[in-house]
Amino acid sequence: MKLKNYFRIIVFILVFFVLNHFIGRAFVHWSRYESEYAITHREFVAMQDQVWLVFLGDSHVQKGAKAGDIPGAYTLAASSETYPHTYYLMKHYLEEKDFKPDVAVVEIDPLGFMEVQVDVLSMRDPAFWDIYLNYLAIDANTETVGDLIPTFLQAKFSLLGSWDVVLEKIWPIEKQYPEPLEFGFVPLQTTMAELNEQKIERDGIHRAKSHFSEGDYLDETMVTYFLKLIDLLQAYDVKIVLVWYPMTKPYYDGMESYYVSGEAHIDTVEELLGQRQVDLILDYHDTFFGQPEFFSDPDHLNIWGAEIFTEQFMEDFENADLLTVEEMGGGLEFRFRRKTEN
Amino acid sequence: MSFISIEFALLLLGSMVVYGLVPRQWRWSVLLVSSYLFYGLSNWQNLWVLALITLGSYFIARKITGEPEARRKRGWLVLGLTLVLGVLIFFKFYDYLILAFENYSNLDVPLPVLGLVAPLGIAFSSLQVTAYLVDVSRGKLEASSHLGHYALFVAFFPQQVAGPITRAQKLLPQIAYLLPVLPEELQAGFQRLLLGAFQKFVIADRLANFTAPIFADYQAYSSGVLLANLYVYAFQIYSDFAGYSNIAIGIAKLFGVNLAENFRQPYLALDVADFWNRWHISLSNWLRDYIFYPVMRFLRTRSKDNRAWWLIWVPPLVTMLVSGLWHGAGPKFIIWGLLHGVMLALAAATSRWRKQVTEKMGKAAWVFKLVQWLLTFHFLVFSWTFFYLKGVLTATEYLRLLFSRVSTETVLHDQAIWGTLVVLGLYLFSEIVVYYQVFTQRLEHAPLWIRWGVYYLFLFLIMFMGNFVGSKPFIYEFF
Repeated sequence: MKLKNYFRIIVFILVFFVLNHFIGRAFVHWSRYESEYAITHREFVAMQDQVWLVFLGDSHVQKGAKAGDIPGAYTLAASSETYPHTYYLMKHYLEEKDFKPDVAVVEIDPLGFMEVQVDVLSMRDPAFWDIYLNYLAIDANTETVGDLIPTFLQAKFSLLGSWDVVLEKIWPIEKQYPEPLEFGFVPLQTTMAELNEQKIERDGIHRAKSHFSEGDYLDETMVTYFLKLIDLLQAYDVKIVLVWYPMTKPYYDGMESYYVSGEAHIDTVEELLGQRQVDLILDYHDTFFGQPEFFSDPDHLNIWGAEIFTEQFMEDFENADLLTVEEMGGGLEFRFRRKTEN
Repeated sequence: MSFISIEFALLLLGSMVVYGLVPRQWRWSVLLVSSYLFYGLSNWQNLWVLALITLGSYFIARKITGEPEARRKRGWLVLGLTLVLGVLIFFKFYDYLILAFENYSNLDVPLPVLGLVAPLGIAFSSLQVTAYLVDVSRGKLEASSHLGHYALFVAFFPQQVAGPITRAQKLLPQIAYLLPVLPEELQAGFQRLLLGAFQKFVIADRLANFTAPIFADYQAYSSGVLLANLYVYAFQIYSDFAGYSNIAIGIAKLFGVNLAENFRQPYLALDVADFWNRWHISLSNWLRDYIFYPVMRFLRTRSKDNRAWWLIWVPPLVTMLVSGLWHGAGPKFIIWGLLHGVMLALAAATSRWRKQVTEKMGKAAWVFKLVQWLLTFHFLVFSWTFFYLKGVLTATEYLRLLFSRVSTETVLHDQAIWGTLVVLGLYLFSEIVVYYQVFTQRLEHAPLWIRWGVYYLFLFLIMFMGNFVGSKPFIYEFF
């Protein structure tokens, strides 16, 4: 092949990277302020000084922790958020924004430790995460599982698969995040009680299979950043509560058959923590077994389930005596606040 | 290892670099090593199967060529076919037959189920090698005397997973004399790769986001949704398979090798016979040459009447039964095959009448053609039900609900509807690109900036709309 052909190939590739950069930046600029993450964080930043308890995690937390029922709490969570996401977010708020919560409630759902979570790391709304995630550090800290292209390079291709962001913007599936948000909480109004037993069983197994059948249990990246998150919170004297959120029984059974048993998972988390001390571990995975009316889908609570779960959480939290009543927001006036008919 | 992986991209790039550097007479070895690497990294436990088929068929073909006596020639051929097809049948059907036998027999003796995983591309390489052995025995070509070239013919990695099934007469001469790759060939290969990736990632995988949830829970949906789902699946499976074929052809082209074409606007077919001249062309040509014609010849020698009904019905039924079984073990593939067999026979039985009607209608013949097209298209769409769903009962239940359930409470949200319509629009766009040979002819003489503009458009559409997080394996990888 002649030299000019090699030259053309090189120029073609270079022009591609240049175009990718500019089109990618334009897309990031267009989509950054409209994403689910952006809306949540805008509200949080406006009220962070009043927040003493923060729920951290993914959609299980976003739909399950009704922070509005707890004065001074906030659900700082989002769909598909992983431990690296949470770590860098908290690092940003603790180090640069002077955020000083007393308590951080960290999710320990088995799905959060899975290998497949790595795939969402750079693909999910990179427009928002670009400003927080340190991809070079992620690659330096851990082996990029199954990928020969480092995460930071993948993140440069912010257009990859971004059609989903456009779809969600033009035809949002449902109004999942009313503005203003209810302290970060996203209420799901549907219930599985309308389904027959067979469908509930089938849905649970299907969903568990789609989540758990294709990945390894403990992914190195996820474990590393889970522990880094714990270390970070401890460094800022934040009390740490680990919570496993409720799920339906069929989903749990599916998870056990494809992935890991519940008991083994809690033991594993404790083993991972090693010498690190957390203040409380609360396991609610079976709290609503046999009660599909509290779920919108096999592993997400609906608004009714979230209310009861949050109340239960606060009772257990109070009983643990980690904080004084004053630290939790003030004297006898502090009571679990719930919007009821009464 | 899949085509859709960084590991494969690196293997491909590495192979291209080394291929360009080695002397011409050793290029086949680069491709052979790459092919075995590809196979080994995907499925190392069954590497011995590939080697067994290769060595066995190579030496048997040499015996066939050197054997003067017809009876012994036939004996070697039977041995070769037993080896190649025996391996295929064993891996594809053993467990299924054992389980079926246990379910339906009264025997209390537990039979060993081996949990076999079919070797990568076994269905395709078996057909390729079978064709080679038969053609050697018929004297259509000489058995290869170069084991390395032959091994590459069997294992050539672009076509290993899911074809196209390329005949030895076409592929072996190319392998024996691998020329330097011209810039035009690199360009053509890149164009096919781009088109294939567009069809797979943008169209097939995005359409799968629509069809998969509906197929998984079809009892919840109305007949309108179930019907729409079948249409969408028809385009999905075509884009998936055509996408794979274009990627395979494009990759081969990067090494200056031409593989067989596999698709030619199949959904424009006016009858099922026409469809099989447009869909998976390499398979249908194989079925025609090695099943249909031999069965036809056999029946003709035993029939006095050239227009006997069994001459019209039996060959297509047998051919499509074989096609069904080749696709998979299980009654659903048999039914799918037989349905197509019946339609093929009907097409043959009515072809003269249809031609007469077309001639009589003159200028209005387009109406008749439109009717034929509609009937053919809908037959194809409905027959895919047996392809996707797990079993015959599920497929028939789906079809029953399609015609009996008018409405349900479950509705599709706007995102699913409009998102899918956008993708279907892109499907039409890709078909226009193929039909008008945009890449192969129109762009050839276009200025550089237009050519590059089109390439960048496709590249960025693939990046932007490609479903990478939820990317699925190629459908035909499972056969």
